Amino acid sequence: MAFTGKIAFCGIFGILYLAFGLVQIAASVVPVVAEAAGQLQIPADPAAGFALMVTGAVFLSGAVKMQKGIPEGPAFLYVGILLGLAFGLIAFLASGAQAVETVFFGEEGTVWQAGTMLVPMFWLAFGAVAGFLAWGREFTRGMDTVS
Amino acid sequence: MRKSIRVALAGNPNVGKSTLFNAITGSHQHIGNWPGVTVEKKSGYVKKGEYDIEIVDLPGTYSLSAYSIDEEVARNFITDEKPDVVVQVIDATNLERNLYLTTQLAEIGVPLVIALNLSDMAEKRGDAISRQKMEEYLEIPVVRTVGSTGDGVQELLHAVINEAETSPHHEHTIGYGDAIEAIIVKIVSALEADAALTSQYPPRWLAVRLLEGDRAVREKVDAGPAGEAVRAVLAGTDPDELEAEMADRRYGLISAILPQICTLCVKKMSPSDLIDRVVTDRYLGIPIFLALMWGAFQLTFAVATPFMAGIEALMGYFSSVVAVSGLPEWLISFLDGGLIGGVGTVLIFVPNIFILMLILAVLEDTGYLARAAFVMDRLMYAIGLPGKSFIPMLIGFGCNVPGIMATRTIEDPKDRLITILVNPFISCGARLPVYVLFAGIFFPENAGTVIFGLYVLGIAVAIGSAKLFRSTILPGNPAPFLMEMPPYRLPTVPTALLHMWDRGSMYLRKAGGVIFGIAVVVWALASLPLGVEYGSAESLAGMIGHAIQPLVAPLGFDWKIAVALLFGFLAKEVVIGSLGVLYGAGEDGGALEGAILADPMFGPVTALTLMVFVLLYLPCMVTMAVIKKETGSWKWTAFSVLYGLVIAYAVAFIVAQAGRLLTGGI
Repeated sequence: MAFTGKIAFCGIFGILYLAFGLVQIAASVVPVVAEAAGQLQIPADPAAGFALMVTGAVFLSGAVKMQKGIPEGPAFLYVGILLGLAFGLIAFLASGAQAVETVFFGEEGTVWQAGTMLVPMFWLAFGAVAGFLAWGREFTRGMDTVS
Repeated sequence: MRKSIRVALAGNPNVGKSTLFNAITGSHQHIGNWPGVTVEKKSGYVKKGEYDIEIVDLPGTYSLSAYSIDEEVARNFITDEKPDVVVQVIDATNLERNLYLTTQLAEIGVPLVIALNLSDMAEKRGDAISRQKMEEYLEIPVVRTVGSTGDGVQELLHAVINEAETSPHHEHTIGYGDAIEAIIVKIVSALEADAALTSQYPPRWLAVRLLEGDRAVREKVDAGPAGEAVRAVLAGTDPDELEAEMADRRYGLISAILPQICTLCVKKMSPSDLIDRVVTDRYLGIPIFLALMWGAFQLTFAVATPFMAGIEALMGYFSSVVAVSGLPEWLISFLDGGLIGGVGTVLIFVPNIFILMLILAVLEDTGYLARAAFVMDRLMYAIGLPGKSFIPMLIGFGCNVPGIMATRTIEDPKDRLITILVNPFISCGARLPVYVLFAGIFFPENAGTVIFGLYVLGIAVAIGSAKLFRSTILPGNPAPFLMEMPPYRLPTVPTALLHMWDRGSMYLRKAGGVIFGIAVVVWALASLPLGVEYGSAESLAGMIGHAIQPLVAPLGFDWKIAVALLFGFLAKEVVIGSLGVLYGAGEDGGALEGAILADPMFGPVTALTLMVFVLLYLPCMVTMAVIKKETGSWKWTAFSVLYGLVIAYAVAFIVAQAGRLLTGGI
C-alpha cells in the first residue's frame, strides 16, 4: 500500500495528540487527574487540550481516509503536521517568554526550570518536525490527479 | 452602410475577461471587482470589416442568480438589454466551475460564443481540451483565446459576427427530474396568460428562475395577469431545496460532458488546495478555527509577558525618579498617580495589542481568515445571516470601527444592520488590556484560556443576538455566500510588521490623546476638593462612584470599578487607566496588580464578572459614532447602546451569581 508509512504516522500521532488532549481537559476538571498529570508535566489546561484533540482528530481523519484510499487523505496528514508545528512553536515561545521574564524581571531567588517547557504540546511537535522532514517537499510540490 | 453589433462579455471573476476586453478594444481598462466597490459595466469599440462592434464588459459573476449587485448588473444586461451576442469568457484551466454559468446562459437562449481563455496555461500543464467536442455537446461556437497575447481575438470577432448574422437559437433544456419538470410544465402553462412577458423572456427560463426563488422575476410575474396562477403553483414549494436540486442537475450535466470535452484534464492539487480540503472540512473546519484562535491568544498573553515586565519596570523607575525629584507635592501626585498610574498602566499592555495585531495580520495575509469566514458560513446561515457577515466580525477583533465599516460589502440592508448591531460584542484590541490584567492576576495558570474564552463568549453573544434580531425585529432570508478563496501565501516579515504597526499604532496614539486626557480628569476628580485624601470616598471621583455604585453592586463591583466603567465608555482601555489612577498605581512604584490583589473586594469571580461586563457593555464612543454614521439612525444607535448594556448586565449577573455559588468566594 502506497500510504502505509503515512497511515502509521497519522494513526500513532492521532492517538497521542487525542490522548494527551483528553488528559489535559480531564485534569482541568478532576483534581486527582490534575495531580497525576502534574507530575508528568501535563498541564490542566482545557483549551490547550482542545487544541491537541483537534490536531489528533485531523491526524486520525487522515489515517482513515488514506486507509480507504481516498486521494485527499494525505492533505489531513500535512495539515496535522502543520498544526502540530504551529502549536509546538506556541508552546516553545510561551516557555521562552517565561524564561526571559524570570531571568530578567523575576523576583530574587526565582529560577526558571527548563523542565517546565516539556509539555506535551511542545514535545509532540518533534513528531511533526519528523513528519515535515519526511513529506514536506512532497507536500509543497502539490499532488497530481488525473480525471 | 456599416452594421452595428452589441456584444456582452460575461464570465466568472478572474478568468482574464478584462485582459481580453483590452485586447479586443485596445483599451487600458482597469476593472476592480471586489466587495464594496460598485461594479459597473464598461464599454469599448472595435471595427471589423463592415461592422462596428460595441463590447460591453460585464462584472464577473459565477451565476445569473442575481443575489448581489454584480450578478444583478450582469443578469439584467443580458435579459433586459438583449445584446446581439453574449461572449462567455471561460478559464480553460477551470472548466468545471466556468461551465455552470454556461448552462445558465444557454437556458436563456441568447446567441452565445465561448472564448476559451487562458488556453495557453491549460495546454502548458498538459490539458487536452477538444474544442470540436465542446461545440458538438454544447452547440455553441468555441474559440481558443489568450487575452494576454491577443491570440484568437480575430477569430473570436469573426465568430461573433457569424453568430449575430445567423442568430441561431441556442436555447438548451436541462432536465431537472420528473418532479421539478412537472412543476415547470405547470408554471409555463400558467405563464401563457402573460403574453407580454413570455414574448420578452423564454417561458421555461422564467419558470426555472421562479422555482429558484428569483425575486426580480417573481416581481415581474406577480405584476402581470399570470401572477395569481403562478403563485398557486409555487405555493408549497421550497425555493432553497429546489435551487440546490437544480444546481446539482446542472453540475451533473457538466460532470457528464466534461470527460468528453477534456480527455486529459490534469488537476494539480496545490498545497493551497490540500490545506483547504482540511481547514474547510465540514466537521473539522470550525474546531481548527477555534484551536488556532486559542493559539493566537495564548501567544498574545505569553509572549508579551517579558515586554510587559520591562515596561512595568521602566514605569517603576520613572515613578521613583519623580518621588525624589523635589517637585511640588501636587505635581508629584499628578505625575505619579495621574500620568504614570493612568497612561503608564495602559502602556504596559501595548505589547499584547501589538502581538495580537501581528498574529491577525499574519492570519489575514496567509489567506486563512477568508477560510474562517467560509467555515463559519453554515453556522451564520443557520442563524439567518450570510457568511459574509463573519468578515466584519473578524475585522472587529482588531477594532470595531473598521469592522462596522466593512459591513458595506453586505448587500441586504437587514443583513447589514444586524451585522452592525452585533459587531460591538466582538472583542476588540482595546479590551485586551483589561483581560490581560485580570486574567494574569486571578487566573495565572490559564490566562490564555480565559482570554480565549472571552473572545468566544463575544462571538457567541454576537451570533445569539443576530439570531434574536433575525427572528424578531429584522426578519428575512440571507443571501447565499459565494467566495473565491485566495491562494495561501507566506507573508513577508516587512508586510506583516507594517500591518501590525498600522493597526497597533492607533492604541499608542490613543494613549497620548484620549487616555491621557481622561487620566488627567480622573486624577483631578480623585484629588478634589482640595484637602481630601487622594482617591478617597470623599473625593469627587468617590462621590460620583458612590452615586452609581448601587447600580453595579449586584455584580460585586465597588465605586472605583463604577467610575472606571463610566469613563470606559470613551475608550475601553480607559477602564485600566482609570483603575490605575484611582488605585494610585504609580505612587511609590506600586503596580496596579499589587493594588488590586491587596483589595479584599477583588477575587476571581469579581474579576471574571468585570471582564465579561467590559466585553459586552456599551460600544466605545468612536464605535457609537460609526454606528450612527453607517445606520443613519439615532434610533438604532440608541438601541445598540441599550441592548449592549442590558446583555452585559444580564450575562455578568449570571457569571457573578454562578461564580459565587460554585466557588463560595468573590
